[in-house]
Amino acid sequence: MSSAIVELNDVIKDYPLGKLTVHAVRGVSIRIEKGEFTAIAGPSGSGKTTILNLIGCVDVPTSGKVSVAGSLTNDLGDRALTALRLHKLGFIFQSFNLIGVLNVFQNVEFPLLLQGGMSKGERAKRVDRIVEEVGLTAHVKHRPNELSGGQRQRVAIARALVTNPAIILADEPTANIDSATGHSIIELMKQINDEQKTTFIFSTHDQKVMEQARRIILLKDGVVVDDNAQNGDGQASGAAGEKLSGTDEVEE
Amino acid sequence: MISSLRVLLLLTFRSLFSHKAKSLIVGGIIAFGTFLLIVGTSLLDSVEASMEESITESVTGQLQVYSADARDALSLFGGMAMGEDIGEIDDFAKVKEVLEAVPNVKSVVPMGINNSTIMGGNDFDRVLGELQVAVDTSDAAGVSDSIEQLRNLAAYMASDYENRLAIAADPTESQEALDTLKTVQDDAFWTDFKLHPAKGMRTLETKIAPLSDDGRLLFLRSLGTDLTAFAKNFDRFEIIEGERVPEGKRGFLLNKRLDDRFMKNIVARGFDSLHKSVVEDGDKIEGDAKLEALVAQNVRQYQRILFEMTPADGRALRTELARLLDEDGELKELLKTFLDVDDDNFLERYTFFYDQIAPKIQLHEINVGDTVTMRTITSSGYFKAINIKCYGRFQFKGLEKSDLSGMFNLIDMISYRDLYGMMTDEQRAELSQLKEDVGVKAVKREDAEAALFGGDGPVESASTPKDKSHRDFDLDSRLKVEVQDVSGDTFTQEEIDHGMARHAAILLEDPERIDETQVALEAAIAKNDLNLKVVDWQEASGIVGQFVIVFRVVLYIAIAIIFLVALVIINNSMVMATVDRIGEIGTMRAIGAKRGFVLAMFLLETFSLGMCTGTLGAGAAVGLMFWLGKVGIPATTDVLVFFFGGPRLYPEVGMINILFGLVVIVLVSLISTLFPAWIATRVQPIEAMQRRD
Repeated sequence: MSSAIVELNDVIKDYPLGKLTVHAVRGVSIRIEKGEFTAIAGPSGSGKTTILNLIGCVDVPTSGKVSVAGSLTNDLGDRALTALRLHKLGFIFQSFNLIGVLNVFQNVEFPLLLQGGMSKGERAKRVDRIVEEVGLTAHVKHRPNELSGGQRQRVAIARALVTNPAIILADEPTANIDSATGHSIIELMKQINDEQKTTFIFSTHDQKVMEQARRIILLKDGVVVDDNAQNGDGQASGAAGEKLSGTDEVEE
Repeated sequence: MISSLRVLLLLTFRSLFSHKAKSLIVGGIIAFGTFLLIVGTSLLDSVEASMEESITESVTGQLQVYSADARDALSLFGGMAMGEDIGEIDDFAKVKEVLEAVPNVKSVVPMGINNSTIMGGNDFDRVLGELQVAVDTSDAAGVSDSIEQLRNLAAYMASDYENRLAIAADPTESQEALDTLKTVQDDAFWTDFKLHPAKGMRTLETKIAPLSDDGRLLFLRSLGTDLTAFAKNFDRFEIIEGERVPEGKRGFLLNKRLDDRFMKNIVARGFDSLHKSVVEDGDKIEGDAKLEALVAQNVRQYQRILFEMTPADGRALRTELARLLDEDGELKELLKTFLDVDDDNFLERYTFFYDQIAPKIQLHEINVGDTVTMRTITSSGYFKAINIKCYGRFQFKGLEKSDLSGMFNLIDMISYRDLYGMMTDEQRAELSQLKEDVGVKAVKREDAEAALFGGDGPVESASTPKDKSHRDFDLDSRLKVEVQDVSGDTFTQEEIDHGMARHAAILLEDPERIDETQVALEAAIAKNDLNLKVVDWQEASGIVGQFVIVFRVVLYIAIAIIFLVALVIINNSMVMATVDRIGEIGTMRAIGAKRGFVLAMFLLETFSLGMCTGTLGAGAAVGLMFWLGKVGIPATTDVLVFFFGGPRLYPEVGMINILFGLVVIVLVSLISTLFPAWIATRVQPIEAMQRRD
């Protein structure tokens, strides 16, 4: 059990919403091993983004335990969580969230600069390599607004990768790009997962994207309704896919 | 650390450029604020420096000393009527010796202000004098000219007495005067005069002359000083007519501005005032009640020209006036028409006045070279009068048009002491003998009770100034005071130095070191037991010197208000920019940026913007000041002339003004960013997840 890179135990997360309380996650236990390529799937409001936030250390649970890369996030303050995000995690956002004022190179370099302790030359080598890996060498001087959605998401992937994080979290990484590009983005992530054994966890509500995952954790109304790892098969299963297809709806 | 500073800088500049509206607003405010601050403080500093020059180089020197026992503060500009007790410096020579030994002291000049009166000219007496000369030299033409003038004057006096008769409660005196005046208007009197001039002169002197008014009573405010030392030490002082009072001689110098304002022929003064308004200020007489009244007054004062002219000059003037006005008539009528100026003919008539009329009349009450009788009440309460020669007219360079600077004439120290009432030991002995004889004790007011009802022994206070008031002067002038003719006396420097002064100006080699010198002077004074206090020029000049402090306070309040507004606007637009950037900040936080990074990013942003636009504003300010320093700011009013130290202010901008401006503006912008920056640090990384581009 202790070898898991991510572990959620009986996690509950409530949000106050006016006078009401939204029970976003109602008792979830998940265990993800190092090197897994996992999709967290489910319809809108099923709690997948919340779970991703909890794993991403940008949020802490109301109750239950979240352990990321060996640290229990419940116990950590802002500084420690920030350090954890900086050194152990990489983020890919639905809206890419590139820093508009920086060019591709600078965006990718940014986490390295925050980390510090690397010479300019080392940084440049690393950034160039990663940018090449995601196929954007030709666009290294471009600003985000000069790139297409797919290209922007590649930059985001490069930025997430550049610090060699233990886990890369992707929140609906294909939601804002067309399906063909989305497919290639997931393929890229998969390829990196294969080569570098980086753990990937991404959320999605897209059937096709989900099917590219090696493990699918299906959520509904804040609880896990299916997890093919627990079902025993290593590949995306028809069962989980079918369960989702019934409730598929477009988020927002 | 260095690398994150690099990314911070990069982020800063990039975001400054990408949030153009915000940068423009905030930058604009900062630039404007810096501009205002630098221009404001530079102007003020320049005004202060110029005013300092005006004051220190015309009368005060950098420092002034006066008796520590003084009950009132020395106030050389403004205030200082007559009653102030600023004490006395008993032996100036000792003070001079001690103070001039202090490092950085260039020289010490003794001073004291005196108010005295002189009698202005009496036309009747003057013409009578001319008649006497004409009679003595058997100048027939001169005699008949003078007779014509005297008859005119007598007619004028008669009209005056007729007015008095109409309103007098007791008509006897006026009626008698009228009857007497009638006799000289009669041809018979003058026929007789030509036969028996001596008898006629007697009648005129004893019967007619007393009926004429006394001359105009003029007040002279004079600064008694070592005139040689004064001329050497006060750079603004310059003689414009006549000469300096020769070394060791008694004499006085007229202040041109005072002279023009108060002792010039009244019609000439009217022309001067009109010239200033119409020509210099570009005002129109027509429709301006004040200027119209001035013209009307000039018309009424035509006699002040008519009676001051010899008949020959009068005839010449009549011809010229008839030509100018293109009409014929009596001189009196022509003069009245001439004086009734309007906007179209003013300049022509002004020129005519100074070219044709001024040389024919006595333009000033006192001419250079005249010896006049100065009367005053001395500090010991006695009437005192001395004859003293006017050697010249002076002005303070650059302050020719200012009524604030040095509104006094200059008189030599010895005469000043005489008028002040310092007695020689001999006189003192005589006086105390006199007092003993009559059994009088001089008693100070505060000691009166003790003296009257017992207490200490007799109190001697020959030198305590008594309350004096203008009211007493009239009485004074009617009392027969023995007039000392002292104009021939000469004095050594020793005599000038050894004696009383009321206060003294201290001039420094390096005015910048005024503070330390003041301390050194105070130490020297204490060490030598001189019982003096030292004040700087600003304090010594009284209320005028403190105007600048008021200006400064007003400027700082204005700047504070502007900056408060700037603070609110900058704060507001930064908060809005922050809200705009919540997603970006959240992303940075999610990726691993610490709160400190976000804070630094915001502060650095405003700091750099502040430095850049502040420098721009400073550049504009320096440019403006440089330009103003070249062309100068014209002093449009008399007061400004004084503050500007001349007709134009040539401001300078100091490094200190620029630094002060930049530091203040950067502080203001940083303070105004603290709140938005704090908001930014509170942005949660989770915000990144909600971001939708």
